[in-house]
Amino acid sequence: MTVNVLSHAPAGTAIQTLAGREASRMVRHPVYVVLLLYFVVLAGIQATAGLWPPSRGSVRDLLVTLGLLWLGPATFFAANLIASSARRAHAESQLAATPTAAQARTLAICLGVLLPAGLAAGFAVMLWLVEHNGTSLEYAQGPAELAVIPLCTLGGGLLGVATDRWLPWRGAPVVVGLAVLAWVVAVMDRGRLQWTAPWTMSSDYYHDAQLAAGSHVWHAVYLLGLALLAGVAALLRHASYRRPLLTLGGVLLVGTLAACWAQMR
Amino acid sequence: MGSVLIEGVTKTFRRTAAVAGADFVAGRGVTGLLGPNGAGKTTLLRMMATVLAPDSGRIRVLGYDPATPSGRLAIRRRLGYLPQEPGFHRGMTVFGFVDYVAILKELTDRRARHDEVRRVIDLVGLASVSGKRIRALSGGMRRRVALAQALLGDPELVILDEPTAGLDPELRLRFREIVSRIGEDHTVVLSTHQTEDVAAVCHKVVVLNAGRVRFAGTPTALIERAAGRVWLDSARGAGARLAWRNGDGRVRNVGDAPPGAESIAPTLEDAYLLLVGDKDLAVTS
Repeated sequence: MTVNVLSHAPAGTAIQTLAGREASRMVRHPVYVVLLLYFVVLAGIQATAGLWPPSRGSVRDLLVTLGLLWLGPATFFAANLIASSARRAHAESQLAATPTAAQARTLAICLGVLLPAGLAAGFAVMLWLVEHNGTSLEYAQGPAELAVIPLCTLGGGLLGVATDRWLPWRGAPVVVGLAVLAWVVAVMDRGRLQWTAPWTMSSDYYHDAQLAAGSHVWHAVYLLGLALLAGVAALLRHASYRRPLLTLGGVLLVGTLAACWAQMR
Repeated sequence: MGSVLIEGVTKTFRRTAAVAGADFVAGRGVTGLLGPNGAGKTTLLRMMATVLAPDSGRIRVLGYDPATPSGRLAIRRRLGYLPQEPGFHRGMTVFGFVDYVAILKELTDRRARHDEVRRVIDLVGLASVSGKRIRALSGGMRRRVALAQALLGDPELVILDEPTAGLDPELRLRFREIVSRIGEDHTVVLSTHQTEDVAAVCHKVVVLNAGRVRFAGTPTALIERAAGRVWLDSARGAGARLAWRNGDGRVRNVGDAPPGAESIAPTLEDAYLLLVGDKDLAVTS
């Protein structure tokens, strides 16, 4: 037989390559198309009912809503399904015999979430450019406000991975998704407490009028903290590197709580 | 020292002892594990493949200790493993899945990896369907996909758990050719129920029963143990443990032959049947 002498890459390079593959699997996941169709149909019904009067502001609000309610949840489900795919395919024992450990595979999926988050950032930049160039909108959003879109995507994806690692059973992502939704609804119209939600269901969110005073910059930092905490939680499911991960998680928790407090001042 | 060393290994699941003090050595070449269902073959192979840790005993694979993280990593970098029930991401194509496993095997250089993926897919005869989704393949073809991923990177040790299950006769012959070629300069440990496969390609055979090694040696040595215990007669013999009528109408008896019986040359299957059903022969060589 042909003897191929193939060199093994350093673990870091292998994780990078795997992260690229997982990112590619994630953004091509059909869940994005399914959820997009759902929101397009929903927006169409609302537009027909006169809930979205034809104006630049309405289109902008629709796009921001889409960015938050499509990209975030879709990335949550896509990342969860990618993370659970080996288990659902009963391929775990086969993959366990490869040099890439389970924790490295989890890390690669977490890094893979950066691609949809990057695409969401591109979407937010596009919105920012449109809002700030020749439009006559009453209110143009700042970068920190628009950063919520990629941060929700990042947080959604990392929460999806953490959900699979800690709650590896059928239906768990739906339960977690509903729990996040319940959290959003619970703090809605509760003054400053509304800032603690990962996103708000109220379209008035984009106009500061109904939202209690607070800092969009700290809100972005708070969301970033929540997202990274979800990533650390996913990695903590494995036995390796527990101490440094717990330390990092502790620092992130303190930082996130501080940002939570700062955003409501 | 052999490529695989198993010493006093035990593994218990709840109250069931799957492996109860197994000892054997497997060196370069093809070693076949034979045994009835529940004999502990899969558990033993999973422990060799670093997927499962033993409760007690000593395992050394390619000179490394799978109980340590560095040992496990070193073994996994030199290992190809085909589990008994391989799982697949069924939405992936054959090439996509094998390529995915190649990344997990740390083959990161894209061009070299793709060349290697094409090589193993070609080796198992799946080149014509490499662009097909796995869900569209037959069970036998999926088995070959699993075999292809096990052969990635030309591993020093190949562990195959019932690799011929579900394969048609032609593919079984092709599989024998592949395994035989790998075994020329590598270590292959395979488990099977097919004694013909063991007789055809294995340099060494290990017979397991109830979690213990009942025999370890060459197939010829195992066959010799059944010498004089297979005979032809017109009817089932009184001392026969198993008997069946051949195509020529005579009864082939396996067991304790009566005096003057017409003995014939035993096969590996005869020897295996006598061994797993005969405690008197249960002596490890």
